[in-house]
Amino acid sequence: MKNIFRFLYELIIGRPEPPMETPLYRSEIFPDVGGITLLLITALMVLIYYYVLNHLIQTARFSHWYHWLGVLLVNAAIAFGYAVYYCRLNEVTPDSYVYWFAFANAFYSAVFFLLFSLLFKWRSNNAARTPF
Amino acid sequence: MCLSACSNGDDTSSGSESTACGNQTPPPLAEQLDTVNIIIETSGSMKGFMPTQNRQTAFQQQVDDLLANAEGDKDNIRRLRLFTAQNNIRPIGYDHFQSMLRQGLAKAGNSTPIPDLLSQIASSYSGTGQVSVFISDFIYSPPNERDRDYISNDIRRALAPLQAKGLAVAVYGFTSEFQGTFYPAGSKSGDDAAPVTNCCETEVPYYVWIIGAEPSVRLASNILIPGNAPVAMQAGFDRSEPSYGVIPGSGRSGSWYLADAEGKTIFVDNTQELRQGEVSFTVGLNLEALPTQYATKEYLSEHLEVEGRNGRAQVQDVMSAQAFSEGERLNAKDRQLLECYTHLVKIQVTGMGDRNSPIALNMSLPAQNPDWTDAWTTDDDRDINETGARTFALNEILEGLRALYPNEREAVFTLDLSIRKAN
Repeated sequence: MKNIFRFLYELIIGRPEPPMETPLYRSEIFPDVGGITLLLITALMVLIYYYVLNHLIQTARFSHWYHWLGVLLVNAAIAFGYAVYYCRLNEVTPDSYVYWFAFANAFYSAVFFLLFSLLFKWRSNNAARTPF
Repeated sequence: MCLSACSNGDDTSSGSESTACGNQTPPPLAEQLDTVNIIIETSGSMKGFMPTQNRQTAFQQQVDDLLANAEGDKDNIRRLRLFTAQNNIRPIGYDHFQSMLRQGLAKAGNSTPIPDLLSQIASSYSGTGQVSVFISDFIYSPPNERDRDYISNDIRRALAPLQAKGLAVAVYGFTSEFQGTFYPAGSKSGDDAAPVTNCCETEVPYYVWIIGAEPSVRLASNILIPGNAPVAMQAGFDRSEPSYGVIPGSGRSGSWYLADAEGKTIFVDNTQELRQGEVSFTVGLNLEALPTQYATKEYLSEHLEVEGRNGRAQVQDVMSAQAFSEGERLNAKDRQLLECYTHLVKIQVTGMGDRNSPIALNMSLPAQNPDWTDAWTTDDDRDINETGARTFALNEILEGLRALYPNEREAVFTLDLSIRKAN
């Protein structure tokens, strides 16, 4: 799992900067932030969208694509914020790389949000066809 | 509120400081000195340091300081004994010693060759609980012309009992005005030397040798010579590997990183950088326990060697920890780590062999005479005013002292580092 996250992040933002922080990013920050935001929180947000907002709540008020996009953006914002927060928590050397990493994390959260959507949407009462 | 926050912050930082340095053992230091023998050579050649008429010399002031330091520290020095060394070493009363030092040396004795005096000290004035402090100009003129080639062996033989007893020697060099007759040793070519009267326009060196067990020598040096002497060397100290480690974030180039907090293995993702000489890093060393002559920036710069297996590397720079902290752009995370080290060595990797095998670097410091000895030694002291403040064959005297100890033939330290490709 560590290597998957390392591959994903370094694919778009390159090796950690400054290089001395490489072990910290690769063995702590990448897997922790990836696991929590991309997998856990994103899956939770998708489930909330499809099975709380569009299932338990009976009205089809939130079934439009822009509602879906709104939740995706909220999830991306959480992914961005959590990445920055987690870097600071681990006292990583301040560098623009922290923000590049947060952007990458937000980007991947959107990708994962889409993937989880495709996976979960079919059992939703009101949003089985959202976003398409 | 700010006060409590600040003090809290301080507490945590000082708490983690000890762990950051790992388990560094401080140099051995005796708790107390049982007996300190101060032995001052009073042969004719020393008279110029303690003239009866003219102004005070630096020698008189410095030796008086040393005496005052010894007397002043009753907690650490239980018994202080004073001696003069002419033909033999004789005890002398405190008042007599001080008047001789301050009023001048009225009656100088015959001179005795330095090895004889050293031999007496090594056999009779050294042992458990004793530290002997020998003050002399160390002008050694072998009685026989042909013996001039054997000075270092003469010294080594004289001091032989020290090695058997496991005792160390610290040498401190000073210079002082000299007013009187100077008795040169002569020249290496064996030419006779005539005494130089009304000497000297130049200062003349003299030396303080502190002889005893290492922890006692360290304590005695701290007490007696607290403001460092111009030059110093120690021999016979135990060798322990200095603690060391690569500094992760400062004084570096290339995209390497450390394998762990120990700082002895460097990982690289891209070996191309190694081949192109783009990788450099800084190693912190704690040389606190080393003999002082080895822990100078000059000695390290000149003698420190880095050898590589499966790669090449060179020493780029040697810095004191303070100079490094002030000169480099420090990564804030390194600040605490730097407090563990006294010196920093910047190393550049200049090439690599097989890129799938690690590079093993070996950093070693050969043991040689201190750098300062060349500037303090001469082969011909007949014209001391021309020669300047130099001592006849000093480098051989010190070589003889160093030759006494087997560990002086080995490297002062050898430290290993490795650079490997990360998985």
